Amino acid sequence: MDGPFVTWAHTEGGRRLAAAFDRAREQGRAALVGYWMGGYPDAEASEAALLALARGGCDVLEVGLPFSDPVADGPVLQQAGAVALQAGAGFRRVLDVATVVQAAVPETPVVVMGYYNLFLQMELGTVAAELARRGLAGVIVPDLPVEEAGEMRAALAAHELAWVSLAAPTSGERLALLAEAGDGFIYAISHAGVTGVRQGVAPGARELVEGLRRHTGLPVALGFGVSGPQQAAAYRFADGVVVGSAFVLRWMEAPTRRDALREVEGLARALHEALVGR
Amino acid sequence: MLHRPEPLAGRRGPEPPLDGVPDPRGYFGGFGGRFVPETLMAPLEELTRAYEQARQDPAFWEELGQLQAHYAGRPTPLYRADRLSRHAGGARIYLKREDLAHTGAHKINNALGQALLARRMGKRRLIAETGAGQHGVATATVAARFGMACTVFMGAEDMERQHLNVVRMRMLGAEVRPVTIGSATLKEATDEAIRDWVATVADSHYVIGSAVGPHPYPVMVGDFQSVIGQESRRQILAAEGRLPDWVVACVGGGSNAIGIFRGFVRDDGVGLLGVEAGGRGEAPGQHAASLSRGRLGVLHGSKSLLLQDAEGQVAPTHSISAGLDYPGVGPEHAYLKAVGRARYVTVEDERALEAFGLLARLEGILPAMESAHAIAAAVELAGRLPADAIVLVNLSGRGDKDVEHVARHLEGGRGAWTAPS
Repeated sequence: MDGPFVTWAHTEGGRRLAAAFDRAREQGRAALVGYWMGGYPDAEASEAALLALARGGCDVLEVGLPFSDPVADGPVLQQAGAVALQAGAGFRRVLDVATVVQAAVPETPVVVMGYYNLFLQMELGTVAAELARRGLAGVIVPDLPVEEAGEMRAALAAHELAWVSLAAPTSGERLALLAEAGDGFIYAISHAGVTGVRQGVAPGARELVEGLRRHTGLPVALGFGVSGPQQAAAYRFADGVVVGSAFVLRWMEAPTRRDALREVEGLARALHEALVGR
Repeated sequence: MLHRPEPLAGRRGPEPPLDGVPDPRGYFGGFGGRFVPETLMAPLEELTRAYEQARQDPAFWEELGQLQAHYAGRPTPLYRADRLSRHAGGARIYLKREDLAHTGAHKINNALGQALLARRMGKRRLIAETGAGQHGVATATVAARFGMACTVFMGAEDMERQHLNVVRMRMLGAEVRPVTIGSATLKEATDEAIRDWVATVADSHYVIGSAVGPHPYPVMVGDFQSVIGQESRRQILAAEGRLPDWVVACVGGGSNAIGIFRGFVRDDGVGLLGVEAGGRGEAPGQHAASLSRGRLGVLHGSKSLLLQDAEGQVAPTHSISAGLDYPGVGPEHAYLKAVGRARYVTVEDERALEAFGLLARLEGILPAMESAHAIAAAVELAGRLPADAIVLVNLSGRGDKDVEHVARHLEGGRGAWTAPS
């Protein structure tokens, strides 16, 4: 399975995502996927943060939809989501953020990541049409397992959007199913647990990536718990890493907004460099 | 009048709730399913398999029956509340006395069943969420009984409302973890319990406290609680020679109601009435009436009726009763409502408080505030029925935990009171 990732993608959105991983591979590195909570700390600042991630070298951007009950998220993203909701970051407002960002960096595919209830409250076909109209590449839904995703996958596919599947260290025999259903890339969860900054390398991560590769030629990106360049470098065996909480934490700890933007861009750059040498 | 037939020990497991539901994916019609992070999917499949095996294993039900009889005090009595009936001025009201079960509420039925299952699966730690604290106490109790570690997540607001149960859980050896985010009530405690479970699923079992959550929880919790309905059915037949006209129970997540409804759901002549928390009124945020005022949504692992805003953010709730203060409801209730088999009404805080006082003064029973909602609706219903009608109410728990809270309300909310750390 050493051909280009893009040949494994099913939709236009999926091909854009896979192509971003192909470009990184051609440069001899793993891809960097950067996550930011849409609307955190407010709509305008979240746009600036996402553009800083892109400048710092993120190959793919994920825009989080804040939700009242984020059961897959750790304290950092939970807090960011609560702040975003307080600031009035509704579904459409955050889609607006994603749209502005996507238009500013057309070569960097943008996906939205949000809990299923947010999508369910609009007719799924309507959501998919809207995401496509806005030029986005696909979605990641952390509480929608593949068994329940039929309707959503069909709606997305009808609009050439990617459904990115998640795989976990506990997935075991489910990996074949997840690999087959996924599009664009497979999001491999490095640790059993919620999102958040962790130290060290998850023991089952390599096995998980290798398990997925037995079933698909789509790129596999490792996420959940990647804290900094050293850890990212240790995950170079994957096709990419996803970093979210570490960026948001840098922002939270920075004294001013200008510092925060510089910190976020700087961390993205350091991570990008750490991924070279794949 | 007390009616006490022989214990349940040795009896077979529960009947399926209704023909064809839930389906193999855990759907009651359009409600149910599994909406959880991928990390939990394989463990939920393992749990489903383990429960299916246990369900068909007479030894499992034999052991559970022994524990129910000799540890939890089952069967609980069926009591004819004559003075309350006279006050209502209509039908005879019977109370199913789950308040007399060990730990003071129906929650012990489910906690015992799930702890036995967890032990079969080799899990050494129990996780629970709790609102009023009754489920937390029940889980802490069975954890002590089986020598398991126990962590209970509880909203900080609820810890204050239900201080007595916090003390009980700690005495039983459980760790009570306060949850301070959001409304700091049952919803947030559930979020936090799920987060813990995602990270510890290899050796922890999450004892969900109501008939909610991803498949197989709603059916499993309903099965463990169906002992209430099985007993009530036999007891009312023995006492009256016929089935009741109405069965009434309060509904938060809905486990005590499902438990008693299961005994009568196939009897078309028996009306099923669920009573939700009407709180302070109909405005959003002032109540917890998900069946009456919610819309289809996904929360905490299943698709059901949910209180939410136009964009799908889960709405804040209010109830005087911590155990009913939850924006969702079990999928089996959503289904019973959708097919017209059960009806659901709301009772506001003030009426529940009145009913609390009524049962205390007329029958010498302090009901849990949750159950007081059911009492209020049952008294009103009985008053509109003829004298030969029978209304059976599930008195799901006792009110000791609510005494201080109720007293503060009766005194107009004065008097600062803080929970010790």
